[in-house]
Amino acid sequence: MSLRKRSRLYYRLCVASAVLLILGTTVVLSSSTGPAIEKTGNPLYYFQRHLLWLALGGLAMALFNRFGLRRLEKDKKILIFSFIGSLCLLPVPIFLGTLRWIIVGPFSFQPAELVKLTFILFLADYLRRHRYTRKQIRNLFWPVVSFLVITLLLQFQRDLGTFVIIFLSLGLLLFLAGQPRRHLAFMTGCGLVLLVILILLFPYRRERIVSAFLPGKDLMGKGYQPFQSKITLGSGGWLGRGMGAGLAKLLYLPEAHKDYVYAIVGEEMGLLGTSVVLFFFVVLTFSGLELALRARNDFQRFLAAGIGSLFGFQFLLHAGVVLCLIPAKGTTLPFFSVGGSSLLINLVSLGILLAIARDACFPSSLEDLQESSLLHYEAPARMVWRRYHPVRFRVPFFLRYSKISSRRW
Amino acid sequence: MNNIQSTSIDQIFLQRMEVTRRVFTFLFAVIFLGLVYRQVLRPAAAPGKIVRVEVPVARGRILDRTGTVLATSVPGYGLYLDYWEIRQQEKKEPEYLFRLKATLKQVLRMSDDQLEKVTRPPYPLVRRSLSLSEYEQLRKTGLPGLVFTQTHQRVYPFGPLAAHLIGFVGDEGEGLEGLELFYDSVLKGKDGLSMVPRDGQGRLIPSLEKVLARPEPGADLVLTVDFTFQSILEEELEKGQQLFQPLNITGIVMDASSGEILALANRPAYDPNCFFRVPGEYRRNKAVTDYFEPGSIFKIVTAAACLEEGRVHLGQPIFCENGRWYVRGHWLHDVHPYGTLTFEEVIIKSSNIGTVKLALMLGEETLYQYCRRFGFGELTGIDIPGEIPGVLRPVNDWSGYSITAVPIGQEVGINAIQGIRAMAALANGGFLVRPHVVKELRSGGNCTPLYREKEPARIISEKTTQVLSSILEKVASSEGTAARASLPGYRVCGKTGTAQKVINGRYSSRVVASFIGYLYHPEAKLVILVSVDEPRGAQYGGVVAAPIFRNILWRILQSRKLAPEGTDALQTITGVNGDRGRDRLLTKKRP
Repeated sequence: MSLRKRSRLYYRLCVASAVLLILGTTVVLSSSTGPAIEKTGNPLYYFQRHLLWLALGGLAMALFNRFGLRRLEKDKKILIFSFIGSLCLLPVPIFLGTLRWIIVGPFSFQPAELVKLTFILFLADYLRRHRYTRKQIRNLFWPVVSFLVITLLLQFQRDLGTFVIIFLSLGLLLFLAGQPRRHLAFMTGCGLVLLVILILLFPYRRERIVSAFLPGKDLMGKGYQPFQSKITLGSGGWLGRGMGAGLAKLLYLPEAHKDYVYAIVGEEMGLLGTSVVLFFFVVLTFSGLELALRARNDFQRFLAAGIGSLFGFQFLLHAGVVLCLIPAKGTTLPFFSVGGSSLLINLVSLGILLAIARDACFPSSLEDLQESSLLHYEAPARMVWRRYHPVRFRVPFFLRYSKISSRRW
Repeated sequence: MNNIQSTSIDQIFLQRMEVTRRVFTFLFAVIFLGLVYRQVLRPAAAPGKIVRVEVPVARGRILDRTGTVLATSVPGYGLYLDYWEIRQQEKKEPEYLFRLKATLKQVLRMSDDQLEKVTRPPYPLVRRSLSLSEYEQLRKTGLPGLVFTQTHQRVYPFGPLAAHLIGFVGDEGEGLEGLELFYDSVLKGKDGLSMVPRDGQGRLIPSLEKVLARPEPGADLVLTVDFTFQSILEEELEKGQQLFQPLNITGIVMDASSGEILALANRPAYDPNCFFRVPGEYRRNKAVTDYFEPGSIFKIVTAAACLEEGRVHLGQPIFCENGRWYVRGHWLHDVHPYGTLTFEEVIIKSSNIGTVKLALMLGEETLYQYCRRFGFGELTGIDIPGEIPGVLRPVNDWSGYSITAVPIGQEVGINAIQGIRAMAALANGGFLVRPHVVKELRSGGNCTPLYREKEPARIISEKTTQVLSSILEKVASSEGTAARASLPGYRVCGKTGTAQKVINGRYSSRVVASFIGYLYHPEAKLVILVSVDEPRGAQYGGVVAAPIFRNILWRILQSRKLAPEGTDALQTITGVNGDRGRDRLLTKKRP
C-alpha cells in the first residue's frame, strides 16, 4: 500500500472526529436548553460547561496525541497504576453520597468513564505480552479478575451500560488476541449468566426490559421514555424540524440531553442528520479497526481496535436504546451527550487513536515500516465483489472485506 | 496468503478482524434500518405539543365629542376549575374538593346550590368575571385547580346615560345593541393568535412563541354626542317622564347643518352595566326602531311644497269651513273651528282643513314627491342598528281619502330621526343632511373621520326655508300652538304634533305628542325633537312636548353661553327672562 493511500486513513479519522465534535457541540447546545432552564434557569448552563470541558479535553487530547503514546508504550507501570487508580476512584461516589459522580467545585466527574479507557489500556498492554501464549487459560486470569472487580464496583453505581460496554470490549480484544474459541464461548456464557443475575438483582432493570419490549404497556409510567423516544424520532421525518426547533427537549423526553440525545438529533435534523451521525461513527469505528491492521506494534494494534470498537459499542448501545431495540440502560453518545468527564475521556481516546494513526500512516523511518508485523499480510486489494461487476467504482471502506478462510479463526 | 501458516497468530488476528468488521457492519446496518423505519416508514404520531393561544384585546372605548369616556373595557378575570389538577391534589389530600368549595363559597358569597351548579364537571365555569378583590383573595390562596382567565369587562361609567345610543355587549364581549352592535367589528379589534409550544409538564413556553396574528386593539369611537347636551336631555326627559307618566319619551338634539346627533335619549332608560335586569322592550332605541304617525308636524311638508311650487303667498286666504268639512266621503275636523285664515295662519294654528286644502291644490303626485324629498319612507342611514324606514305608501296605493290624511300626518309613519332630519332641512337652508352618531375612529394615534363632509342634497330653496322659518317662529309664540316653546330673545321655530294612535284599526284617544323645533341662530343651528308617547294629564304637543323642548334648549344655550342675535351674552344668561321662563314651565301657567 502506498503512503498516499495510508495517509488517507489518517485524514479520514481527522475529518470524522472534527465533524462529530462540531455536530456534537451544536446538538449539546440545542438539546440541553430545556433541562438547563428547568434545573438552573440559565438555558446555556450545560452548554457553557460543555465548552469548558471541550477546552480541557482538547488540551488533554493534544497532550496524549503528542507525548502520551510513546510513554504508555514504554512504561508498563503507568498503565497498571492508572488502571488501579481509576478502580480506586470508582467507589468514591458512594462515600460522597452521589450516585455516579465525584463533584469537585463546579465540576463533576464520572469515574466509570475513566475506567473504560484505562481498562482498554491495561488490556492492550496485557495482551501484547501474553499474546503468544494464548492457549493457556491462566492468561485469562487478570483480565477476568479485573473485569469482575469493575463489575462489582459498578453495581454500586447501578451502571449496567458501562458493564455491557466493558464486557464487549473485553470479549472483542480477547477475540482479536487469538484466544481459543472454547475460552471465548465459556466466557460469553459466564458473562450472559452474570448479566441475567445483575438484571434480576435490581427490579428496576426488569421493568425497563418489560417496557422496552412491551412499549404499549404503562405509557405514562415506565414506558413513557421509550414511547417519547419513538415519537421524538418519528417527528423528525426526512429533514427534521430544524436545528434548535425540536420540542422533545422541552421536558417531554426525560434525559433528552444525555441518554436520548440521538432522538433529538433525529427530531431536529431528521433521517439526514441521524444518517450523517451514523456514518461518521461508522468511519470512526472502522478507522480504528483498520488502524489495528496497520499499527506499528501489538500494543497499538489492540489499543486501536479497543478504542475504535469502544466508540462503536457506545454508539450502537445508545442508538439501540433510542430505537427501543434494547432496554434503556443509560448509555451516552460520545461527543453528543452532555457530560464533562465522558467528553474528556472520549477526547483523550481520540487523541490516542490519532497518535496511533499518525505513527502508522506517516512512518518516520524504514524501520518503523518494517516493525509493523502485519504489513506482509496486507490483504491484496482483492474484492470478490468487483469480479462480477465490471463497472469500476470505489467500494466504501467499511464494505471492503477480505476473504475469511473458514478453517480456523 | 496461503503460503503463510494458517495457525499464525497474525493471520488469526487478520481473520478475526474481518469477522469483527462484518459484525459491526451488520449492527450498524440494523441501526440504520431501524432509523429509516422509525423516522420515515412508520413514524410514531406526535401528540399536540403546540397550543393555539388567543390573546384577547381590549374592546375600543366609546367617547363623546369632548373626550368623555362613555364606555370602556377594564381587564378582568374569569374563574374556571381544573378538575385534572383537583384530582391530582385529591390524591394527596382526599378532602381537597370540600376545602376548595368552602373557600369559593366564602369568597364569592354563593349559595350551596349555585356552587354545586357551577362546579359541575367537566367544564366548570365558576364566574365569567370576578371583581378585583375576589380575584386577589382567590389568587392569594394559591389553591391548585383554580384557573384564572384573562378577560375584558365592559364598563359604562355613566350608567344609563346615552344607554340606548351606546347599547351593550354580551358575555363574550360581542356587541348586542346600539353602537356596540353597529360598530362591533371596529370596536372589538382583532385577537392576537400565536402558536406556543408546551413543555413536558404542560407549561407554555412564551419564548418559543410563533405569532400568527398580532393583536390589534379595537378602535375608539368618538361620538358626535356632547356629554353636556346628553345630560341635559336626559334630565329634562326624566322630568317630563315624571310629569306626564308616558309610555315613552324620545328626545334628540341634532346639529342641523352637519347632521351630527348631539344628544339622543329615550325614557324609560336602563343601565347597560346590568342590561339583563330590564325587559327587552326597554332596551330598544325607539328613536329609530319605532315609527309613529307624526300628525301636524307633517304639515311642514305641505307648506314647504306649496311655497316651493309657488302656489301660495303668505297672506293667501284659505277658508277653513268653520272646523268641519266633508271631503272625499269623510268628515274632517279642526281642533278649534276657524273661518278664513291666511296661508301663514293655517300653519301657525295648525288647521287640518286648511292644510288639506293646500294639499289638494298641490295634487297627490306632487305631495308624494315632496314627502320623498324630505326623506320620509326611506332609511336615513343613521349608524344605529335597527332603523326602520317608516311608512309612506306610493301614490298608486293611496285611497281617495289619503290626500286628506297624508298632509296632516296620518297614514304615514315616521321615525324620530326622519322627523328631525326633515326639520333640519328647514333650519339649515334646505339641505337634507345625513344624521350620524359617530364622528371618527381613533386607533393608535390615527383619527379616521367616518363621515366626510359630503355636499348634502338640496331639497328646497333657501327662500322657502326663510319664509317657512318665519312662519314656524310664530308657531312658537303666543299666537301659535307652541307658545310654551318660546324663549324670549331667541328666534325659536318649530311645529307641534299631536297624533292619535291607531289601536285596533281605529284612532283612539291615546296620542303621541311631539314637538320638533330649531333655533334660528347664525352660530348654532340646533334642531331638537321631543316626542312623548301617550302622555297622561295633557295631550297636545304644544302642552306636553313644547315645554320640555324649551327647557332643553334653554339649558343648552346656557351651557354654550349663546346670546340672542345682537345682544350681549352675559346679560341674557344672567337676566331674569330665563329663570322666569323656567318658573312658568314648572307652574304650568300660560305665558
